[in-house]
Amino acid sequence: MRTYVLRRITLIIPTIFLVSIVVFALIRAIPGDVVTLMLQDSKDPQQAEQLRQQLGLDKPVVIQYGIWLEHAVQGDLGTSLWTKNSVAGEISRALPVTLELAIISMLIASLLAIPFGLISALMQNRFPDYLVRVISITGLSIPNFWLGTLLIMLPAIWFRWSPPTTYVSIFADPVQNLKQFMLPSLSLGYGFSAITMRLMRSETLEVMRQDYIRTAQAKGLASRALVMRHILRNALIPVITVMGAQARLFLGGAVLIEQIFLLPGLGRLTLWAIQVRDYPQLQANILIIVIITLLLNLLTDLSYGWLDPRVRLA
Amino acid sequence: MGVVGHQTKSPSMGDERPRGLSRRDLLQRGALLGAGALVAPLIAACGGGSTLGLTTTSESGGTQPAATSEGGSGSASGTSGTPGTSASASPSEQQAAGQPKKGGTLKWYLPDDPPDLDPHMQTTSSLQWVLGMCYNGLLRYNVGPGNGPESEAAATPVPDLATKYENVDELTYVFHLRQGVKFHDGTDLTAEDVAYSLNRIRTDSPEFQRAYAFTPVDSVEATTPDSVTIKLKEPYAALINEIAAAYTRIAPKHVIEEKGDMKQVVVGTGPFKLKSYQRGQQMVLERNDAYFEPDTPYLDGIEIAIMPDNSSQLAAFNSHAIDIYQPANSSQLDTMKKVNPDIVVTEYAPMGLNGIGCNTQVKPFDDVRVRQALWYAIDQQKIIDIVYAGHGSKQRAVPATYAGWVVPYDQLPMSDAPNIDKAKALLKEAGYADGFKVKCKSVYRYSQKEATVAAQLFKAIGVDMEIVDMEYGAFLTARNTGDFDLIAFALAPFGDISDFTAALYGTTASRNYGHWGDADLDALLEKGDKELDVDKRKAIYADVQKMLAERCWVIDFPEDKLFDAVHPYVKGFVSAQNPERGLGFWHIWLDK
Repeated sequence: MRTYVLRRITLIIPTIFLVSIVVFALIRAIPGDVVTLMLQDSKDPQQAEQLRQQLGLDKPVVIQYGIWLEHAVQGDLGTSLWTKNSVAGEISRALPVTLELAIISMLIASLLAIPFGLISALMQNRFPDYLVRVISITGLSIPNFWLGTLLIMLPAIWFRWSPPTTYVSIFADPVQNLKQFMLPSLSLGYGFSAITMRLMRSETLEVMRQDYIRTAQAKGLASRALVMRHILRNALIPVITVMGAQARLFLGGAVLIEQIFLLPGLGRLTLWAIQVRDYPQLQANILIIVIITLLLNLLTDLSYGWLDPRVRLA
Repeated sequence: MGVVGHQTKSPSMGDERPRGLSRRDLLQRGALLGAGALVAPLIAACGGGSTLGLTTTSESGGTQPAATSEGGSGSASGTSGTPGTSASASPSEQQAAGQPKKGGTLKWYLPDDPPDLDPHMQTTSSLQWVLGMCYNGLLRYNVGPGNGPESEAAATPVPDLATKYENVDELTYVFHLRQGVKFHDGTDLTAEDVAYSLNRIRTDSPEFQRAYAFTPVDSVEATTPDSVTIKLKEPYAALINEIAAAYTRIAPKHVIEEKGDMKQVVVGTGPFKLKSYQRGQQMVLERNDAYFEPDTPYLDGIEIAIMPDNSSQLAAFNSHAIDIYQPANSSQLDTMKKVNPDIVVTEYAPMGLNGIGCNTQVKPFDDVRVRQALWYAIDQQKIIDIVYAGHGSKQRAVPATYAGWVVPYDQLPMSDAPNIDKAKALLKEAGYADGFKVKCKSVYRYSQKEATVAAQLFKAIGVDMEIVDMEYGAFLTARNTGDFDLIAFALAPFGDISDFTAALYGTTASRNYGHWGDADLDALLEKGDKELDVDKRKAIYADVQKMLAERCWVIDFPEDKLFDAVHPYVKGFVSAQNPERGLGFWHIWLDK
């Protein structure tokens, strides 16, 4: 087990290295470079050249990458081309916001998806099942940014209420913080729960058809124990895989939600970095997202073992 | 700087502006609008030893001479008068609105963070808005209650840190400083600070985006402890406008020397001090109790939330989480009024000019007849009706905001547009009787909707124009490198009328994207730059406008109207989407 984890972690390093090359090249290949955006209206090529020199962008891309890599391996991700702030500092401010959003959304999604999916399957083709299916289909069909927009516009029109305009850390003021995270987490969590709910339902149905369930029923196991110990645990395995695989979507997929709900998270920072072509910031953000995704994948894989003894043995 | 230039039309991403042009864009060019136009007479009228023309406005927006607190009558032709305090609302107006009350915190927002806080480098509008509250210049524009953005007074420079200036001769200007002004850190303002700041703005480096405005300046020196002398290389009609421009700000020399720049700190002389700033979240300004204008500002402070998303801005306004919303379009207004029927709305014209630029190095747009045919196919009224919901007016050549200098639409050549017959005849003459196909590059924020209507209108003359939707950064590159046939874009006005026309149409100008202009126009522009006599100068710029209208380098779209909304307890608010005029919010007070 330990060698497996170590091997997986070691494999992360070349992956990050390769991704950093691809990202470095790609963000410089987008039409419209940072110099154009900084100079805005002026098309004076001399000014552009001077600025490019100041920013160190006049060197060949390979050299630029070399310089970046040299600093990066020493833990220095550079400074933002625009704000001149440390890139790592910006991320350390933004990441907790996104993580909190992701955790609360996941929580909402799981609380909705697992019980409702289970109920839906257990009461197949009866009214609660239909209701859950309608709810999940709606969640699948509605884009989260649209739901977010509604969630912010309608209370303002109906009750003249809108979430706080300024982000407060959960440690500074938990009430204010939760007021701000409530709606964005709901808009993200609902869409996310829809997929999981449907999966939970179909997996439960699948498990219920298995022989061992019939055996368990035949030996007279109480239905509560049957559901909790045999059905739920087995049905959860693929559900957790999917949730794990989707968790990374919160990092990138929260971009629009963070924008709408004024959350200064990683998504918003990344969008900004793309729009103004802040290469060091974008590079670092994507690296962080990649690292987190790889770790999440690892955790998902490890969780199989815990949930499913068959994998553990293999 | 949160440039929202994504192509997605989702409600969350769209920088939902009434026209393609976002407020930020308009602002960030350092739009000084008609300022120059109105100041030029002052300079011109006073050959030697002039003083500032001090005026306040009546509510109608007309100008009238104002009595100054120091007793000097601020006539433009005075020889060495004493300008008094900067004009503020006339007494009658203040009575009408109630007596200003001190106290309270204004809740406001900006769509994005400034890139940094240095007052001498960037011209980004979010930066200008904030710094306008914290810094002063030698002069400022007389915006204030009663002097809305379209009034002549709002475009008139008045004293700020300088009490008066003299032009000793055509090439020498001496500014006398106000006494007893303190920076936010408690140090005194000196002539050294002023000279240092003006010279820093002139730094020849791309970081200093306003350096070009002071190209004709030879030197700036602190000649006495309370006066600064500016020497020019050649006569420069626009100097006073550039000095009054809000981004010509005075910052303390010792702070810049100590820190290297002012990207992280705000130390000004203005009505508000920066109390705290969390990037991406909020800025808090507090009253500067030592502000040199007595009794102002009225507010205790201003909380500025950074709100990139339009729907959250609207929701926040509807729920009173912010006090001001700007600018709104008519459908947003309907919703706002339903939720809060008592909001106060001001309608005003934006400062820019939108249009389709032709690349004259590409066939068939090298042929003036083809460009004229396109102009004749444009029905500006249709664009007003469809895109601006009827709120707009026809305009050409230069934005209507250069009040007093604009040749009326009807008096420009080819004002009989739309005229499909003439358009077809011109195309036939040019050898394109059957029309042609062309692509028009565009971006969501710049007049894309107008261009879409134009594409329909062009069909009548056989021109098949396809609108190409681009990401903002890619669009800028295409525009700046001339990589287009047609381009739908926005022209933001700069300080002086010469600044606007020369920057876009001078053959070597830095904003001449489509190889516009020609030797005739260059000659006219050169004449206009040097002409200090205001009437002669006006005549020159009338000719410039006629030439622009006739040669159709840019196919103009009409002018639209925008709306600013405030809650009724916000008093003294002045609509102005151009912070470059230095709207410091010192005049805003809360009646609650």
